[in-house]
Amino acid sequence: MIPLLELRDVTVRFGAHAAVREASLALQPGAALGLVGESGSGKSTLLRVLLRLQDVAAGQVLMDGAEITTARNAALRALRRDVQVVFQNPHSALNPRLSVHDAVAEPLLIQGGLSRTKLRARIDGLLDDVGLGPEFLWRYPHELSGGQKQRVCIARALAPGPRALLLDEPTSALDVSVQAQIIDLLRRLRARHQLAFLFISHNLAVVQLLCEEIAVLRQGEVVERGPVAAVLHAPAHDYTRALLASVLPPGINRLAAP
Amino acid sequence: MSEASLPASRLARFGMEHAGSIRQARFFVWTFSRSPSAMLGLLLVLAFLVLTLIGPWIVPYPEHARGAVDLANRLQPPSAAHWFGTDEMGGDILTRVIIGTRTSFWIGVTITGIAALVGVPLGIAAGYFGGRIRSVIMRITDVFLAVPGLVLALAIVAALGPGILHGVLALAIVWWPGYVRLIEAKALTLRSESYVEAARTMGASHAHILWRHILPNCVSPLVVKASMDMGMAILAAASLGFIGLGAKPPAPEWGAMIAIGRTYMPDWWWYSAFPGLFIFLTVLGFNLFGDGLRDTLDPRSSRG
Amino acid sequence: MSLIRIEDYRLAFDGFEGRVHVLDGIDLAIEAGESVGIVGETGCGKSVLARSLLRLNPSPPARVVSGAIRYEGEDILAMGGGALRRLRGGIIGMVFQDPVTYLNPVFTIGQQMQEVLRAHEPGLSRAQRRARCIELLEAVRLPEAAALLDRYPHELSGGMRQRVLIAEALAGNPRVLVADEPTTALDVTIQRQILALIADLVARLGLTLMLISHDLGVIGAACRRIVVMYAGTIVEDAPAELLFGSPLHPYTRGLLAAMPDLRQPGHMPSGIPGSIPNLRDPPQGCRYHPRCPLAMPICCTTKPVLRGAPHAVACHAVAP
Repeated sequence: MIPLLELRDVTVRFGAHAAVREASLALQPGAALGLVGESGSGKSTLLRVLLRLQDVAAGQVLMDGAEITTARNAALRALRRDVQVVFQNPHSALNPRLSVHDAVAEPLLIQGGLSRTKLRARIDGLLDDVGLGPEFLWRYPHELSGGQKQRVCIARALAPGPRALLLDEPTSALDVSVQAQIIDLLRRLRARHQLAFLFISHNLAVVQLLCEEIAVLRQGEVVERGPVAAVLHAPAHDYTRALLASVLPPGINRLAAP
Repeated sequence: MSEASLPASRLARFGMEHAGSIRQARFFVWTFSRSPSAMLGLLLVLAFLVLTLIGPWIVPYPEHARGAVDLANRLQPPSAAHWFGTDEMGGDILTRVIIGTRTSFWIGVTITGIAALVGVPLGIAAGYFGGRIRSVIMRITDVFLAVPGLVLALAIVAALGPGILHGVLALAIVWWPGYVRLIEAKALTLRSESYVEAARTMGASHAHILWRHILPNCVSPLVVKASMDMGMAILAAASLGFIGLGAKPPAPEWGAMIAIGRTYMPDWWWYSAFPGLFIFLTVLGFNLFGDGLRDTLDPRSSRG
Repeated sequence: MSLIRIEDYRLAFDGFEGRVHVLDGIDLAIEAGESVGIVGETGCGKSVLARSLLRLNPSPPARVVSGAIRYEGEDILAMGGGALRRLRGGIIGMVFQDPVTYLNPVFTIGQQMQEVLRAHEPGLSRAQRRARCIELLEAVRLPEAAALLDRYPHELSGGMRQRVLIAEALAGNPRVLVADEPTTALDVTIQRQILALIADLVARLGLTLMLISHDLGVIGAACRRIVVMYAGTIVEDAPAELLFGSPLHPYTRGLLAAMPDLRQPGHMPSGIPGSIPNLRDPPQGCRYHPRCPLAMPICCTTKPVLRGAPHAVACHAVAP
């Protein structure tokens, strides 16, 4: 099967520092791949490379088997429609000057071709999809809770009818009771729209709930990759083991002396 | 879903669609009105604007505005007939000071207006596009900022010849770099906001991003700076008038009035004191008002 | 006498569109040597409560509506300037969430720590202060402490910066350590080390700990007793093993059910329906009743009292 998105031996440099080193990844249509690692592991940089927001120093970026490493403007039209992103911090992901209606309408207006009534019906449908009622239509970001903002971001990402969502820590800034709601929403949306997920997180327990495959990043390198059950329950790399050992499940945790 | 047709339901729909904006406006009013200094600024600015608007119709001696001569009443101290006294030609100083608000108003608006119109596009281009465009714009800006503004303005007026129009032009030329600096910094931070990145991943054009995301979020700092600059521009123009390079007597301009009045100090103190007081109150008003706006419009300020 | 005793403490913020009732009748007694974890979600008032111990909530907008916070019987809320300065750092040391913003980037670590020491022990000579700084940095297990004094904050990793801040909090030899989300801004591997350090310091120095976190896993790693807060009230207060073993309050149960657990791959966490109430106009009676699966008529009218020992719960539907 041809991957929807693929990275081959990608290296990204910021000055002398290599944020990503010869990383390879493939996201199959409809699959869910988790990308885990700590700060500075290069996971957000990889996401920006996939979105063509970040140029690479070496390597290739492919979509549906066609190279888009240096594509611009019109050549990226398929990527801009089929691959959408949800960012970590919902507070900065919404323009404070735009209402919910205007935020969700943005991608539809950019792509064009919808009449006024159809646009409105589409927006109503999208908000319904993410569990927001029509009373939210004209609210501004500062009038929404973190969870509601993240739902708006998801609705906006779904608007162009994408085949893949790239999710950058979408629940890290949220309360656990809200995180559970968003995880549930993402699972349902994925099933309904046959979406592929690339899910970035430092929280292994959340990755386990949303993904079938997992790649572990450390200082810009993919150190381990495989099915979730295999990586999490029989980790091969020391760093994966260290990550797993750091998880503090709800309950009494005995810590070794420092 | 049927389109609303009755005026009442149209109104209701407007209320619903703009409920957020209305609430926000009420919040602004609430925050602003809680600061005594901001309210004092607002009061002074309003008084200035009212005098600008209706000045010619309320002054006691309209004919004195353009230099009528009434030598019998020259250099009279403040009295019931002449609240602020009279000048060396017998002109009523109250009249001339009030008419002077018009001069100051258009000086302030022209200088800040030209500066913003030049500075904002350059600042946005530099901050948003970055790279070589930014280097070129910012180096030119730095050159202007490296020379003290008033000194540069003096040189320009000296070259063009004295006169209020030349003075305003000269000040506008030295004023825009501040706007480039302000807007460049703002656009630079806005460029990396998640919602701008998200818009790029939707395939938004630069024009769309600039118009929809960058410019609206630059409005608050712009309004604050423009408000403060109104006062500073008026002060700068008065300084030019004072050293004889701006407005020329008998034009009723505060700086020029003080310049002449200075020769009559201290015995005929009212001649320069009242124009000076008006400059002081106007500059203070715009500064306090701008400060209040900054505290109110700052999007990071919490909602109490 | 309890070391710290909070009695019917009510705090409000006066703001746009009225008064926000942030804390509503908090009753909490902490004994010397206890390690208490305060857990709850955004807006539950846990950080405001922690800051109240040091009177750090700016007023206005904050306004104490009623109650007292006593340290060894003396009301913190009534303390004057001198007593308050002694309290801050000298009796209660505080560690905050984001180690970046609490260190001044233009001064070295040594300069900042000396500053703190000067406030607590004005009598020390320069050399004595330096020795004490090194001693403190060694206490938080920072290697090469002497060299570290000449470094600037940006040269340190996030975990090291948080250790420096813990060292500063200990500079005045406090008896109580209040840590507000001390590991939230850190990576998971570092989080574990910092928690282990805090637990170790508490044991070694005989400190009383109040740890604030949204994460039950973090609380469970460092605290023997857990207080659950919701919308400005304490809903449950129990020893850790009882709280995890047999949680009573419907909100505590909801919170536990919402946490994903790596050990149970099949377990789907369930969110709590509804959202936190608007504290400008909080629900009458129990503040949790609009979201509660066990709500009864009495819950809408009467605020439940926190009762039971050692496992206390504020709920009409469940008995301690």
